[in-house]
Amino acid sequence: MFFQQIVNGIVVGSVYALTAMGATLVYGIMRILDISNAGAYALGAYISFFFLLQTGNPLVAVVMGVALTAVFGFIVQKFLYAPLMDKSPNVALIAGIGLFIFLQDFLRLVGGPQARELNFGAMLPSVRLPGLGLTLYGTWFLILGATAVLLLVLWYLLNRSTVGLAWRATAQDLETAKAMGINTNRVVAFNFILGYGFAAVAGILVGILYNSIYPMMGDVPAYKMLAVIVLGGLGNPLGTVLAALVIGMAETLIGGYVGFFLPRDAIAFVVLILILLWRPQGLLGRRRVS
Amino acid sequence: MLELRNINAHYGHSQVLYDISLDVKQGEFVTIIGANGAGKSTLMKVIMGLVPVSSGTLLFKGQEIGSAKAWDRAGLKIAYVPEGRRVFGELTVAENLKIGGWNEPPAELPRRLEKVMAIFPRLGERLNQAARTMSGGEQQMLAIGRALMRDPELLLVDEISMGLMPILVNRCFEVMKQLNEQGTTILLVEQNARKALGAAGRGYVLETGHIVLAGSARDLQNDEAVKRAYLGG
Repeated sequence: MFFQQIVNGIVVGSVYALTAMGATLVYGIMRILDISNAGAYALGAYISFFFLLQTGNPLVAVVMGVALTAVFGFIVQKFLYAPLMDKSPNVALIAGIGLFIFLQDFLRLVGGPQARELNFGAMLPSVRLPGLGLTLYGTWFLILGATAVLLLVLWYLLNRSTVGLAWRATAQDLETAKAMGINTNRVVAFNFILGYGFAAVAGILVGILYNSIYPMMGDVPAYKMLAVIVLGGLGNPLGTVLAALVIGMAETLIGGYVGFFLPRDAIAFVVLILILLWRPQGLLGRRRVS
Repeated sequence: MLELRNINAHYGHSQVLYDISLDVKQGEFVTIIGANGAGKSTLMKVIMGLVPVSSGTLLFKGQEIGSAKAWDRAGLKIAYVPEGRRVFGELTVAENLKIGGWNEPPAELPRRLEKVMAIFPRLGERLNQAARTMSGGEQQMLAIGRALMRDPELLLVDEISMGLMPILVNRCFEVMKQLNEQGTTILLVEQNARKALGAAGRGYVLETGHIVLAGSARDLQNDEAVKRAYLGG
């Protein structure tokens, strides 16, 4: 039982890490909380579902879901956020919320209000370890494997590549990065492509994990990813991973053992409040001196 | 080399620069002095492409650059030392310098790095340290070194003396004079008028967005109004 909860917590945490990574990247550069990233999460799952219906090929479905959502991210940046950048960040925030609501209703109109099955899970075998009282589902391996690979690729990209150096410089000081010859328009576009691609992967994996997608599936992630981002220290990718694991673990352990008078989704926010009382800048955030 | 004709510029809704005309010839060391809030930093940002030109002509080596992106202007070998240093604090000294030479031919960079480390040996000792862990003076050296990685033809320097110990201010002015003697054209914006006019060949006085006076550094040093307003009597 205990191991089962631990593994559960890691799986849930991995999903949160992927879900919040897209918005973390966007916040890192743009300093806006991109709620519509949670819309991309649902959009990716639906595009993937559509291609699974059309082709029956899970690989094609996943690739198309991620690629088209990434293209969508590029469009959102160019036509929604770029024109708003010289306005107050609240304007961009509200525009993002508007786009999120639009996407949900769009998916409901096109895909219908009912839940759909994203049925890859049945293709993956489960492993039972009765000695430890543990069942490991095939979908878990998929999620843990995909999360680990994607986060390693991201880490490499941000910390070891030239593009990553441009990303980190732009995240710290966009104006100075520009003056140093970095084409920050390209960095921002790349950032949205990456951020929305991540959201799509998360939506698809969650769809597979629960074998279900529905138009409002981005609702809970939309606010939970905010908790993860804030807890991680706002725009810090490593902090987001850490915060996601902390929240995932807290949800499964507190929910599983202590029981709770609040709904399970509220645990994330209780954890958020408690940790922020101790570290107002988040787990890996640095206090900004202005 | 650099020519501004009737430049107007706004910051948000308010106009900051009015009808600015000035020129900097190849090999010159020119300074713009003025009080806090006169529009000096905005003028530098207009030249670098960080604040848009509202109207007027901005020429670099005879080419109109008023609507070029900042990164393209950097590619023309205009380098910028921003006010308040603005080094990338979370990045290492080596990474900051690498960014200074962004899009420059890679084969050139080791030689330029050597040169920067020869001018500021402290940077060489701290290549792998995060920039934010260094003192203000070291960060100023890094900001200058970062700009030199472009091997600039025109070096824009915004307030080099602010918040630095006098000994470091002197060192920075020495470095700029040396660079100028080696052929780098320099445009320096500075509140410390005494230092700036001591180093530059020519100067302009900027007051509330207008150029009110121009001349050789020596003439400006001897000008009664300049003495009163900027040189402490």
